[in-house]
Amino acid sequence: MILAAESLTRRVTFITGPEKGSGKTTLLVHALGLLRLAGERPAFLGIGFDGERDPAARAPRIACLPGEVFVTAAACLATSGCWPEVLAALPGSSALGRLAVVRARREGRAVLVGSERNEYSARAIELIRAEDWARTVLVDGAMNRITQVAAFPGARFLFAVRASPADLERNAAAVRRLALLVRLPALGTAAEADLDHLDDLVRAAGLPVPASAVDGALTADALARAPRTARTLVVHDFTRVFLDLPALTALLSERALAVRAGVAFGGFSVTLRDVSRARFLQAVADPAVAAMIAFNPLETAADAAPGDNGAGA
Amino acid sequence: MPAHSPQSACSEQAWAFGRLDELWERLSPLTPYGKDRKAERRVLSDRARIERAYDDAEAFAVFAAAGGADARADRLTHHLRRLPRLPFGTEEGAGGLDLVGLFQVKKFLANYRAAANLLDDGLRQRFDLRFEAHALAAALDEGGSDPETFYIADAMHPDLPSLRAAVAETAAALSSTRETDRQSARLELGLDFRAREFLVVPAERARPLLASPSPLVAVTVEPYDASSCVVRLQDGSAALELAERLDGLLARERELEAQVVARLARLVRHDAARLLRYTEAVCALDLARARAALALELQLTRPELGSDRLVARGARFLPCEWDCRRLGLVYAPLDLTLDEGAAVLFGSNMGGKTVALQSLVFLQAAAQAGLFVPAESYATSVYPWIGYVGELAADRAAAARSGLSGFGFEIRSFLQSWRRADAGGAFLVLDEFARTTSSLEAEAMLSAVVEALAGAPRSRSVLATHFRGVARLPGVRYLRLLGLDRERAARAMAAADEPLPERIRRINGMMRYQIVDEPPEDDGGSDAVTIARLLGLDARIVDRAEELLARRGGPAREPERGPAAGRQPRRDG
Repeated sequence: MILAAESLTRRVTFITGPEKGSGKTTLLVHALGLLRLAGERPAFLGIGFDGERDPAARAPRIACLPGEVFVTAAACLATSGCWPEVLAALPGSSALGRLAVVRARREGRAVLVGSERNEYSARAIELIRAEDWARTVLVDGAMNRITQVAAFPGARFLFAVRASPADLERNAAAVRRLALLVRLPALGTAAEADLDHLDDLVRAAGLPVPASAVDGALTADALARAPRTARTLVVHDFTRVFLDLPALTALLSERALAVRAGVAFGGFSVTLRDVSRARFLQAVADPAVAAMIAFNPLETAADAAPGDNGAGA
Repeated sequence: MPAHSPQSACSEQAWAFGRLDELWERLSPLTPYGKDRKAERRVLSDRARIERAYDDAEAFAVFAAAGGADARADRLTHHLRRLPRLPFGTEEGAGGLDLVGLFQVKKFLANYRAAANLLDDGLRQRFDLRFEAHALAAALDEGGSDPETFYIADAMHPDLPSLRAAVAETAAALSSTRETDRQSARLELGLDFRAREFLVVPAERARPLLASPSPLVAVTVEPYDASSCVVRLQDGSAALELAERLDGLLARERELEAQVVARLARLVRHDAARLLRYTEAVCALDLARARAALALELQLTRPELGSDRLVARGARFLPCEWDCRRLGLVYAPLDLTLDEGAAVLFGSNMGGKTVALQSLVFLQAAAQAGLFVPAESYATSVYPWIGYVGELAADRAAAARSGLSGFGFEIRSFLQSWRRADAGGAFLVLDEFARTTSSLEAEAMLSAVVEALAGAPRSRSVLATHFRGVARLPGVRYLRLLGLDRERAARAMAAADEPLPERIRRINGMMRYQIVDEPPEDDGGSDAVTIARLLGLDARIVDRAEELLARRGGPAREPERGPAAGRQPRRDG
């Protein structure tokens, strides 16, 4: 199951989405609830602010239970009500000041404040795991923050999408595009150090040669500059691909595309408004994607009855 | 790469030319203070401070090598690595600490004290690792699950225990009430809120919730889309009352906690000067540990400072040695004794002149940065400035952008170093100075520069050049690298299609990198032409060059002789 405690436990799960308001924090709260029901005491943190103008007002406040670990700004500790115990001070700072890793000593509300620099968030996760403060970590963050965090063993990411009739095509395209990207073959990090033998690595992965490495972002310009003879292009990871769906589809119909560093994908969490599941899948137009989607995680079943203790959706 | 410290006694160009970063990056301090100092890349000009750094490293090495000290050294490493930066850098800055700041002070003190306790008395005194902040440490130690975490403990304010008991009681009652509501929602309405703050419910199920509300559980219903509604649990009157009470208790708790934080911050402020001294002490210990570890790892030797002569025995320019190892080439250590204030170094192309200069800068800058050096022995003096005059690609490009010609760049570069040497003394190396002008002018310029440098007080300069017509002057040593073994080279001409790395290996094998005094007469023949042949230059061109060279009577013009020419002491390297 895409959204189940057992698929979240003992790993770092990154919750991301295509834009602000795509339901990342709602999904984070839901995932925390599932973990708590399973008896887990997770750690959670945010990364970046998706361009918030007033981070103090907009930073999410999330219920925390005793023993749970989170990252917040020093200025937010007094109002958390959770009798915070400071475990580490992080380097750098956020829009809300200095950051700290904190453990709740009782129930309260954590203000999730993330570092604006990926390496500091990675440092927080590293500390949480190395010091054994929590074995399960949930990260709420923007898409371009994935790569570094996903470098942790066993880490993976979920992609939250909200779709309504007005934005159905755009969000369906985002899902289809990402579904293509996360399924790109991964050559492994050896390909990074061994560009001289790129063709050998590409051939070993069952892909056509000659191959050409794209240094940096794969944009339309970079694609135009790539050698015409190259039958496989290799990028560092899928977040470096800056082609829209039509351009990506066109590329994949002519050549193979591979990544050096694979990022494990946990699935899509799709929340629909005035759109049926069938209509959404029709818009995605890729039958393989259906198995990667958990629809409407907060929806309870129409036939649930009083006395039914099931989880609903 | 961090900026060079403005207080450093070494120019950035000399540091880069000597490839000091390749040694420096292996220096591994563990504390933020040691790392700060490392980032400064500071080369010292105060002999006492340098000797103190050497003494500290040696004292630490003795401690680390003592029987049974392994475990202690490991624990010391553990505590130094965990020691955080204090949240202030000045006494004034210690006011107004918050909870995270207090945590940092507590963790600093815990690791500082543990590190100090691991040292023997001698080392504790050497680094002045006293621990006197007992009252502050005791106050901070009251709060935290372990010595490295911090919270406001009940014991820190007389009103906190009862207040927190009331918070716990009220929160438990509220939680129980809400749990009862969730159970009622599940049993009465079939709505499971356990992992959800709200639910999206089909409209046909939501309508009855509005039409006939449950007497046991209150919910709000809002439209979500055409077919669904958002349903949220609503606190009943009991829960609302408890929540309001809890808010009041938490507000009071915040007031008390703020009082505690302010009191503890005042304690920190009182001890701020002492804590800042601790940072200096632990920084010195950390750097001594790092220097001792580097010396052990790379088998470095303590330099002898205060020598009027420069004596390098078996000195290894490590970056070059590592390059050679990687490329499968033979590395020849440097042996050199210099009594004179200035020396001119001649040698073939690819004969090692530049590497010899780099070796000297590397050794001198490392020694003045407080490091031991890779040599069987290295005796030198401490100079107020270490400089380099030559061409670094980045500098040359920058000069070109500002409109300087190649010659203009050389002169400007020399001027900066000369001012240092003339003002207070310097250790300078000049690589192919005046290369950008005609040989006649270059030799005149070089002769004048050598004469000036030889007369500069507290200075030592070494110039490498191709120009053999430099005037032979008193007080200047004239040296050359032995260069190519041309007899071997003549027997070992490469095949036309031999790859470049093989050619380089071949030349390296035939090159003699020893520095010797300049022979009175040139031995005829040209290393440059032979090397060009070995590198694969077309035989017709090389043959013609040899022919032209023979017509002119050899590879170099006879040098002008200064008044003391031929009377220089001759020593073998």
